[in-house]
Amino acid sequence: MKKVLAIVMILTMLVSLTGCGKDKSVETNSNSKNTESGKKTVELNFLYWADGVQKTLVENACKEYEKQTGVHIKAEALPADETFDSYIQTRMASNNLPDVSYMGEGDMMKYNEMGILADIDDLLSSGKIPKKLDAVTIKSPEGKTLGVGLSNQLVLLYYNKDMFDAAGIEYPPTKVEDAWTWDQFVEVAKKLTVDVNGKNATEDGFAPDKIQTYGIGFNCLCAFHQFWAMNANGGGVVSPDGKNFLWDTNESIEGLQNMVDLVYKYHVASPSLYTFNSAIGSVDATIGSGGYAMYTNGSWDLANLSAIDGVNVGVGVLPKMKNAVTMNCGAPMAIYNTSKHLKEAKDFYAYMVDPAKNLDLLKTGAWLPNEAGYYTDQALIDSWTTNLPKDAKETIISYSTTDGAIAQWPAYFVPAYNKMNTEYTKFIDKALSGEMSVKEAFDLCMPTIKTLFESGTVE
Amino acid sequence: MKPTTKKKVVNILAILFVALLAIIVAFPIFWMIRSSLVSKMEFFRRPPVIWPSKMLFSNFTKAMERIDFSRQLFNSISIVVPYVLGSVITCSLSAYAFARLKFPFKNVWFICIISTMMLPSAVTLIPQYLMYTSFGMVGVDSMFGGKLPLILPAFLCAGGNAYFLFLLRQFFISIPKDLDEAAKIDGAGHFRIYSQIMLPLIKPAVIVVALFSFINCWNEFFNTLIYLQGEKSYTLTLGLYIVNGMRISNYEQVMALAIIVSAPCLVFFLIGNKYFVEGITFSGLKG
Amino acid sequence: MIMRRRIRKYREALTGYLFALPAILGFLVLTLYPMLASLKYSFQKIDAMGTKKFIGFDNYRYILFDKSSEFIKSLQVTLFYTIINVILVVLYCLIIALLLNRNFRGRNLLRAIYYLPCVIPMLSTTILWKLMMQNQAQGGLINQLLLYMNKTPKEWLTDKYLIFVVLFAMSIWTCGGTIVVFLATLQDVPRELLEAARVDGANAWYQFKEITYQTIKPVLYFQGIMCMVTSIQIFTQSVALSANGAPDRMTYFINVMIYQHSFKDVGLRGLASAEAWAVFLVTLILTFIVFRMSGMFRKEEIKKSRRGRHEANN
Repeated sequence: MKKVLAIVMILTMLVSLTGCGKDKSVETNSNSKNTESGKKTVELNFLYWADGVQKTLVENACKEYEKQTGVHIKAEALPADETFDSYIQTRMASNNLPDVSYMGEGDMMKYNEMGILADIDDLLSSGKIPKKLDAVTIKSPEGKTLGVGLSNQLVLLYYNKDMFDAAGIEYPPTKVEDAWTWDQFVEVAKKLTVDVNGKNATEDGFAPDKIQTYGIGFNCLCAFHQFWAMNANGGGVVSPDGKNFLWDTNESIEGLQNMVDLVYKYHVASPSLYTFNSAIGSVDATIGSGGYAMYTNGSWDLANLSAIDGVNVGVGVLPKMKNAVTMNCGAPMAIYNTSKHLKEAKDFYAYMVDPAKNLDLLKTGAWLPNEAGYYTDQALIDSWTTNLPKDAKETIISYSTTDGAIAQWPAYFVPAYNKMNTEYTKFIDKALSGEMSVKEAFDLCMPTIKTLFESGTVE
Repeated sequence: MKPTTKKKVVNILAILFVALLAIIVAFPIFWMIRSSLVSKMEFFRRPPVIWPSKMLFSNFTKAMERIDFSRQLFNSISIVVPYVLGSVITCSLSAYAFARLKFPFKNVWFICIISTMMLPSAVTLIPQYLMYTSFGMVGVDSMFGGKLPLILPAFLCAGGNAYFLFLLRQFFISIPKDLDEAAKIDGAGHFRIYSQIMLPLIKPAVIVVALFSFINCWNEFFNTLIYLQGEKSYTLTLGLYIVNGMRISNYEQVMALAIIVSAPCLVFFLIGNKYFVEGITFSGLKG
Repeated sequence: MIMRRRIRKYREALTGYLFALPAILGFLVLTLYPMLASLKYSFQKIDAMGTKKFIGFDNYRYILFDKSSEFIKSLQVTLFYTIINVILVVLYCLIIALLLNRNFRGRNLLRAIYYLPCVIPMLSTTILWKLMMQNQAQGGLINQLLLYMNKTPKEWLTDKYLIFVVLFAMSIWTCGGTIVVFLATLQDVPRELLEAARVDGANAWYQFKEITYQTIKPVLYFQGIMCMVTSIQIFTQSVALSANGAPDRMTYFINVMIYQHSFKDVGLRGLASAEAWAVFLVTLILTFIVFRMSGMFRKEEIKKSRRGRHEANN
């Protein structure tokens, strides 16, 4: 027995050692692979985050590109959470930046200030990349084009059709101009919130502390429900031109307070705090589980609709307070100016941001096109919407073709956004947990945040 | 005879209480297994499903598909094996020296090393990180896939291994002096005394150290999060962390993966249970 | 003769150093140097590219007095967790150990059950408890049961105080190691003394206080200190339960903050070093207090080291 153990241990050691040796030799080879003609194969290091369906799709896109061009793509997938940025930082510290990578919306300005991002303006002006939606084009304050969002992710309202049918309520509209008013929305949410005795929130004897099914749930990305509420009420974070600070306006405060009231005043929503990890999950866990009747999340969740069985899920526009708007985000890709193959990196970049090359992602709804033409040209529309549910398609097109219906995430254009947001993080749970009013929480943090905004820099 | 009856009643009550509590303690493990076998819809069903109508072992295979399972398993093993070997070899060597040999400043060194047990690791975090980075040991493309910073401390009695040093020293001290005196007269060197006389005598303790260091290393999270960069060198624990953070919440698969990650520790515990209790019962773990 | 003895002594010293070299080297390279280096860093500003600039006590001033520094709050929640956790764990383990410390069939099985959870990786444990404690709408077991029994479900994970219930529950669930150690120690309690006390008519409390407690006291305090050190460094639970220290930064523990400042934020490594040193000093003070509380531990230590020296001299 002992001998067997010893042998097993030694074998494992050997395997691990040889395994590593192999690893290393592969790597040294691939860094400068020599083909038969003696011409060096270029290898680009591409970092991205993805999970589930999206990961396979990105992998396929990379493989396809390798086949077409012969450029080797060393693609590394990371989890879609905050560790991505710290990974880039450690790579930077060891002078080992990738050539191309995804980048958090909020990190573009930071790396731009460090001077490691390449200007991709030539790609756009030469027409190599056709005109993108303004909402996803990222410009630095000094006028460089830093990147374009890969996708035009919008916030959508997902709902459980069966619950609407059972309660005899009309489905949410799919056109921006028809959006429910806030009062209508609260009324619907009340009717759909059911307690343990089967009573809904409009009925007498409803037990607000024993809720079985919530009327509405919000996924907890702050931009995706808090900033949305501020914008929907005519406020916002910073005006679209980047000049005016709107975060502390009465409209913003009232908008966010409306959201909080859904939880503590009307008892139609589960508490949602700032963080990502305590988020209520994707559409399959919220609508699919029967725990929520309505739920808001990014359009990427469309790709998860196929994972739901037994529940009919619908998609519609968000309600309005003063404005009928949605928020957008969309991870940009960046090229590092430290790349040894800047030209090849830019070509790869142009490939990856072209919606035509990413149709597989668009068809599932994981991504939405970043080019204006994909929302207006019928042939192009048909190229990616055929598999999407009809209501989802109508909602997306309505948002993308209505002027001012998409509020841009401030991370795209406010250099100080990250540190402003960090400061916001420290206080906002006090309001979201109902401990104090939004006004009181804002009074605590907004003066500092405003100063940070006025500094105009990342660091 | 009354006091004895009373004592008996107390005894029975006490046993009943711990037995009932044990059921509560065991329950989450049962729930973990149950949650890994249910279907997605059963996971959410109200009232809760106690045992799935059909056990879905496919959750395990699906969970493994969500990460690069074979690579991450390999990474975990390639860290944990050298780590355990390192802990056992260096801790027992040093413990022997501190217990049986005389050398200048022995007690000073011993107290210094033992006190690292109580040191919050944060205070050495950044310099260690910078040091490893400057040695080129950090990052996927560095030596040994960037795993060295996780293995090296075991070979230097650092990173909590001082505890093992302490434990083994207590054992070495408890061995009677005459044994090695006799060996010395026979002309045995210290290494021979250590390896052929002492080590076999404290075998239970060595096994305890191996078990503990296996569990510690396998469960390590903070340092792996810092030092393993890039999916290529992730361990299973990190794989679990990533699946947990994914936007698609297939909880039943997450649970299946959590069981897979915990399994080696449970198996080793069941195998080593006897030694473990023996080791602790003998030991200076007690103070 | 003297010569030979000297050579033998010299050779023994050399062997001793050779054998202890890994540990000594480890102490110097992985503890002493990093500690001094991080003390130095704590007086510097280190930017993203690693350039260091001496800034005196600015980092310490910032963490202690600046309004936007979260160090004090982080320290508070960490100490709150630590102190209560140590008391809970030690008491719980002691009680279970005392109850288990009798002869009955199935004793080993029970001991194994109590011990089992502590070998499960903390990350798995946290994920498991998170799933059990979450909202009833997301399939959280506890809340579903509460609802089933027509009781009010609780927001375990988003309420700023209830989250500690979850943390303590996990901690107690995984402290089986301490139970086993206590059980082993209880074997050392002199039975004849207990028997004598019983004959004298002493009650159970008196027996425990005067005999059992006195025997296990050093182990009790030792385990308490080890538990304290691990509690101060709580990290995995916070990260896997909720990012950003939610709810309301109540789980923004020291190590979570230092990790954030060292590896997620840019240019805060000097600050993180200052925070780490401040925590180190706090831990030192706490350890000292516990040592003083135990009173006898110090004497014991001295006795032990004396004994060690005595043995070494033989």
